[in-house]
Amino acid sequence: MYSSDYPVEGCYCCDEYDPVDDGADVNGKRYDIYQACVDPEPATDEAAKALAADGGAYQYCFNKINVAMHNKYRGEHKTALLNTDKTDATKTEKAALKARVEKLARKAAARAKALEGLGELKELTAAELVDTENGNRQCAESLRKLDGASAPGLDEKNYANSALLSKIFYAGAGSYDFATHSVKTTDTQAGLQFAQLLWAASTEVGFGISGKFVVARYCVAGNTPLGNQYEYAKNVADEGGWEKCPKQIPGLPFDNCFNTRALTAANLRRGQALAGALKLDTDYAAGAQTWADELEKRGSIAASSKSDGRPDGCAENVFEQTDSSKRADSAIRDDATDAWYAGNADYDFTTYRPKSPDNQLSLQRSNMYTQLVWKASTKAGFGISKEGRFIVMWICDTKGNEPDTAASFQANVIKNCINADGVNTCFNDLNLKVVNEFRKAHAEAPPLTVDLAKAKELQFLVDKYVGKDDFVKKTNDVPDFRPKSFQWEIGTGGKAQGASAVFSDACTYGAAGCYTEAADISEGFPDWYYRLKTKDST
Amino acid sequence: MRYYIELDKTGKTTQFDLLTDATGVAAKYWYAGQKDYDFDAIATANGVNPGGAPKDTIKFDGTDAVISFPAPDFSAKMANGMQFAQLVWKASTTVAFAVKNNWAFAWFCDSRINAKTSSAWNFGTTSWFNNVKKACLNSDNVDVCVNEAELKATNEYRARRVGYEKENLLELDWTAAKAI
Repeated sequence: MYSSDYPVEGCYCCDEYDPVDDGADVNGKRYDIYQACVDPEPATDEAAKALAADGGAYQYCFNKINVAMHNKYRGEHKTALLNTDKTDATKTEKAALKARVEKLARKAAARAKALEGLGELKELTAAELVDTENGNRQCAESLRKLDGASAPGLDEKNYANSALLSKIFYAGAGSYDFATHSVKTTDTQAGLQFAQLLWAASTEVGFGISGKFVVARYCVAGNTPLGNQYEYAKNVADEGGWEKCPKQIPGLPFDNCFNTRALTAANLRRGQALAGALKLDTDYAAGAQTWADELEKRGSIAASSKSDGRPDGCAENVFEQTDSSKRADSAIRDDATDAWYAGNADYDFTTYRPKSPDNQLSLQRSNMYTQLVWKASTKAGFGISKEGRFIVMWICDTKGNEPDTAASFQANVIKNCINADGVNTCFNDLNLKVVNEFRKAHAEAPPLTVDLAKAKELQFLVDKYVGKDDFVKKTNDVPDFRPKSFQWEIGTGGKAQGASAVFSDACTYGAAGCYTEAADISEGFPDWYYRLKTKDST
Repeated sequence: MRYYIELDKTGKTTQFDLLTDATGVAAKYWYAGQKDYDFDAIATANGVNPGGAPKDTIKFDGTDAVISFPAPDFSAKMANGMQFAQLVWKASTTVAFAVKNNWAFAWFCDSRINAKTSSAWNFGTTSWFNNVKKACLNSDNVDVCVNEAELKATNEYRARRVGYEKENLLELDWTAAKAI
């Protein structure tokens, strides 16, 4: 199905675009070219004014092709499609979605035009990508400059009539590690753009192109919190679904696929609590499966005992999906692990004890959470009943919640330090405490408070730049280690400035209202300070 | 990695072993820059300014002792002293921390920036003097600075009295100071 098969008539080519039949492949250097079409004129004067105010035209054909290609990829990964109405959407809701995505596309077009004028790719700050017209949702952009290297053999005049942009983003799959749900350091940009293309929580996208410069603007933003493996695992599905399952081996006394998935989910949650990964134990999995089947027969939830075959060294978490309409998918959505982890609300991280030991339900929730993330535990096995109603986890060697002392819980249950904004709250709290102790010693300095909004902004920049190739410490002992782009962002809110001013006005003198201090404290840095995603990248 | 930080004027030294005491490790690193802060530094340009500046900051230009920032080639001492000064800077109000790999970052925020001062550190030792104070509270929460200043003044009065003898000078009783 090639463009030459179609007559040039309005946007016919776009409307008929069928990515399913598109055999084009970036790596194979094939590009299907579609007939250029005329973007529709604004229907009213008011619409024309709005368009002019946005600074960019709605590039209908470019959006049509790339939304379709994005959704082709998302469909292959069993991920909800972009710019798509809910099945029960009202006319008003449909109109609102159409208006939002067209606005996104116009903003993307304006950005592409600006980038072309600038002659280089320059990213906006997170603050500049907040959609103030739609509940201050955070949006994100993926930028590319197309050139001969990215599209060998493709004439520039055809960039806007092809799905090249989407294909380049999808080719970033090679820079994404599904085993660890992290972006490989070999080509971070490609990995992040691939993850953004598939990011399940992103529901809307707009595309813009100006010459060689292309912009995709997504709402809500993907890759957030940046590097949080659990969020990536939730939002970036592998081809064919959320996890690849090993084939079931005939006669195996447990569900091999479910154990693989459940173990991944449990380990991601344990990672958030800085506990090591569990290994699958097939004997324990068989035992857990037996108990799940037994619960199915009984029709009610209960804990097993030693007489039911559970070894002394194993504890047990049990989950019942009470909503029968969700049972078929409860395992796919990791409902059990989510429910167990939610018990952290019933655990007191300051006393290292359950918050309400006299409330049986609260106590159970707390115990299941602490069991799930118990550091000393090393092995597990999972069972799921036939209809998906009951899920059982045996966690063993050693089981958690014992001995039942504050000291034991303090050592084995570590608070998840990363908040929803990606800020390491533990790191902030601990350093604030020490800073204020020092300030108190210097009698007249009043105590400081943490500004979490600024911490979010700072963490965003740090995640963006630290670990990059140009982020190096100078050979002399002056701690000037920041790449120039980092200095600019910290110092001027993203506005580039002359090199001579970088150090005095940007590095030291932060336009964000703050002074920056930094420290390389490798030797003294305990491993629990490390953000999860970077454990292997140092 | 160990830092030895002098916390008070009594000469008491507190050791932080970062391998075993990880609490607030970044803050301790920055505070350790105190060893490169000169509380008695004086700049004489534009009149004599009261004391205080990171080491290596004040140079003699042949006429005056002037503040000199050889940016971007700060000396290590200057950088260390500035880190310490920022941490205890009196006018600061809020802070934010971030961490990735082995890198720790902080933003110390205060009204100087909002006032759009052209250069944060380029306003003479008066600002340093006003914003960076010596540590006066010892581990018993006793104000060492006040005790020593009052002792000095008291003994000066005692020295003027007829029949003055050296042994009549008072000494500080730190136990009594703690109790009071």
